[in-house]
Amino acid sequence: MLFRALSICIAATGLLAGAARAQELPPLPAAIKAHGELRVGVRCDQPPYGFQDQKGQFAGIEVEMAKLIATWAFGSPDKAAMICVTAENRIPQLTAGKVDLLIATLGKTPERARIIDYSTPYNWGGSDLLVLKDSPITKLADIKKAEMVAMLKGTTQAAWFDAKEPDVKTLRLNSISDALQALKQKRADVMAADVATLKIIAEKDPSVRMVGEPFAVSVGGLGVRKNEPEWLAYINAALARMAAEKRYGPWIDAWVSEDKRDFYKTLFPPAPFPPEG
Amino acid sequence: MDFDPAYLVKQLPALWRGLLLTIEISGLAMAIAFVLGVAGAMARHLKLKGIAPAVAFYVEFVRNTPLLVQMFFIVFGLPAIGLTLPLFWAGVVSLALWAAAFHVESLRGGLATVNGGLEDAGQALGLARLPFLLIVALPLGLRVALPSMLNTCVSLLKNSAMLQAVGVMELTFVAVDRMASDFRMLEMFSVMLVVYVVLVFLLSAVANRLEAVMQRPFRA
Amino acid sequence: MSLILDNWLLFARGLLATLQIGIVTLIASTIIGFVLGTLATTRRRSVRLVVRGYVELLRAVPLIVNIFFIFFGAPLLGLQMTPYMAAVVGLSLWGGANGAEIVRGGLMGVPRHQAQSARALGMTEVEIFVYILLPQAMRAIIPALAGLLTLLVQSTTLGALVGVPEFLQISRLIVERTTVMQGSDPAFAIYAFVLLVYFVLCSALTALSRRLERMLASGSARKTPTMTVEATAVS
Repeated sequence: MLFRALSICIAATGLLAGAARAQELPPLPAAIKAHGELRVGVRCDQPPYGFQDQKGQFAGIEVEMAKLIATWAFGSPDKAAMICVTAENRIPQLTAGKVDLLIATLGKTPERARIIDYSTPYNWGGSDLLVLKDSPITKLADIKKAEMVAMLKGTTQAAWFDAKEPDVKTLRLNSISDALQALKQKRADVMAADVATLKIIAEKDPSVRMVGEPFAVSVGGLGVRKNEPEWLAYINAALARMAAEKRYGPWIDAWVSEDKRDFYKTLFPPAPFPPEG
Repeated sequence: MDFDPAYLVKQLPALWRGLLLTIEISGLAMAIAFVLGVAGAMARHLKLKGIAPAVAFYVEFVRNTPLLVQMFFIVFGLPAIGLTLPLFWAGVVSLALWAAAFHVESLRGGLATVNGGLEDAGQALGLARLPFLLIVALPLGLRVALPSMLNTCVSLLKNSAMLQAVGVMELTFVAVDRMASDFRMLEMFSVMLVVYVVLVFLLSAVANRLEAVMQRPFRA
Repeated sequence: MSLILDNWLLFARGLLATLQIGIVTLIASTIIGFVLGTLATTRRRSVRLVVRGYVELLRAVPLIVNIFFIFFGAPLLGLQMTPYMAAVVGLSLWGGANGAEIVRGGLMGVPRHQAQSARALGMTEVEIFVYILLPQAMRAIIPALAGLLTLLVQSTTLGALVGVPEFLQISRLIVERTTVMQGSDPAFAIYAFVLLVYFVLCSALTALSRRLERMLASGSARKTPTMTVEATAVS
C-alpha cells in the first residue's frame, strides 16, 4: 500500500512540470501562504477516502487530494500538514482556524452551508440500505417496517431520515464499524450509509446484503471558511485541474480493491454527477 | 450567535425523550448496582471461598479502567463472542457494574465498623454469622456507607452522559447531535447545564434527606 | 494478537498522548487546586462562596458535557479550541475543582492550635501558611494528588469523543479500519486489550498513590488524616 502510494506521489510530481503550464492556478492567497504548509483536515476513519494505515500514515483518496494540493501550493506533498477530523469536530476545527481546508467526506447540507463555504463538488454519492441476508426488507419503501435503522451521526442519511421518515426509529452511531456491529448484533435491522462504503462491506461479509435502491443523493465538496473568496477560488481551480488531468483514476486504483474500482470511478470526475435530492 | 427560543421549543420533544431515557437508565442502574453492591460486600465480609477474591479483583478492575472503555467493551466487544444485550440494557448494565464496584468498597468499609462485641453478643443470642450479618451488621453498615454510596449514585447519573458515545439517545446525545448538525450551541448547552445541575441537586437533596432519616436512631 | 502487533506503532502513539494529557492536566489541576483550595480556607466569606460555587458547578455537570461545552462553546466567546486543547482545558478545570477540595481538606486537617500557637509566637499569616500549615497539609495532599492522576488518566478517554487522538480514539480508528478494509470483527480483541492496558497503567498509579500515603504517614508522629479523592467523583 505504502509503496504504491509513494510511487503515485513520485509520478504526480513528475507530471507536475508539464501540467502546471497546461492549467495555471490563481495566486495562493497571502494568508494561506504565510503558514508555509497546507493545513488540512482529513478523515482517519473513512477508508478508502481517508484513514490511517498500520504505521499511522495518512492514506486514501482524499489524502492524495490533500497531498496534490500541497504540491501545487507549496511545492511538495510533504507540505500537507494533515490532522484527523471526525464527523462531529470537522466544522469546528475549520472555523477555529486550526485547518484552512477540509477534505473530509463532507456532504453538502443547507445547515452546514450557513457556517462554511463549499467548493465545487468533487464527488457524489447515493445512500443505500444494508440488511441481514434473510431480512424481509427488499426495497426502500419497506423501511417503514424497520424496527431500528443504524446510521452515522451527522450524515446525509441522518438528515434524510429526519426529513423524510421521521417516524422510523434510528440509532445514531459514531462509525461504520459501530453501525455494522449494531446490524449484525440485531440491535438494528437496517443500516443506512453511503453506497460506496456499503459495497465494500457487503462484498466482504456474506451475512449481509444491500437493498440496492439508492436514495438521498448528495454531492461532496471541500470546505473552507466563509469570506475567503480568493482561497475558495484557488481550491475550485485546483479541483478543476485535478479533473482535467484525470488524477482520480490512479488514486482509486491505489486505494480501492479491483472489483469495485469501476464503481468508484463513477463517483469522481470525469464521471458526470447526477442532480441532488 | 443569538439565543433563539423558537429553535429551542422545536427541539424540546426530542430533548424531553432524551431526559426520560437518562432518568430511566440511571434509575434502573442504581437499583441493580445496589443489589450487586450489597451481595458483593457480603461475599467479601464473609470471606466466601473463591467468590471474595473474585469480587476483590472485580472491584480493582472496574476502579482502574475508564468507564467509557468499559462501555465500548460491553456494547461493541462482547457481542463478538455472542453476548449481545439490547442497547438500552447494555447501557444499564455498564453503569450498574461500574457503580456496584464502588458500592462494594463503601459497604465493606461500613461493615468493618460494626464492632466485634456486637458479633459476640449476636452469637450469645444464637445468631449464626449469616443471619447476624443480614439483620444486625448490614443495617448498621449501610448507615455508615450511605453517604459515599449516594455519592456514587450521583456520579452514576452524571456518567450516564457517556452513553452518548455508544449511541444511546439520552439527553447529552440529543443535545450534541443537534449541535453537530445545526450548530446551535447556546440553546443546547443552556438546556444541558440547567437539566444536569437540577438533576444532580435534586438527587443530592434526596440523598441528604435519606441520610438524615437513617441517622435518626443514633441521635440522642 | 497479530492485530495488536501490526498496529503497535499507532497504539504506542495513542498511549503517549494519553500520558501526556494526564500529566499536563495534573500539573494544571494542581496549580488551580492550590490557588482555589487556599482561597477556600480564607476568612473572607465572599471568596469562600465563589470557590464553593466553582467547585460545586464543575462537579455537578458531567465532565463529558464540560468538554463538549468547551469544544463547541468556546467559539461563542471568541476563543478557538482544538480538540486537544478542549480536552486539556476541560479536564484541568474539573481536576482543579477536585484539587481544590484536596488542598482545602489537607489544610483543614492541620490541627487549629498549630496556627494559633504560631500566631502567639508572632509569625505573620503568610509565614504560618508557608512554614506551618502547608508542610503538614502536604502529607495528605500529595498522595491524594497521585490518586487524582489516576482519575485524570481515565478521564482522558473522554477526549476521544471530541476527536483527540489518545489511546481509546486510536483504538477506535483501528477497529474501524480493520472492520471496513478486512471485513473481520476485531472489536472484542481490541477493546479487551485497551481495558487491559488501562488496568495495568492505572493499577500502577493507584499503587503509587497508596505507597506515597503510607510513606508520608509513617514519617509523622501523629496519624495524618487519611484522605483520598472520592474515586466516584469521576463524571
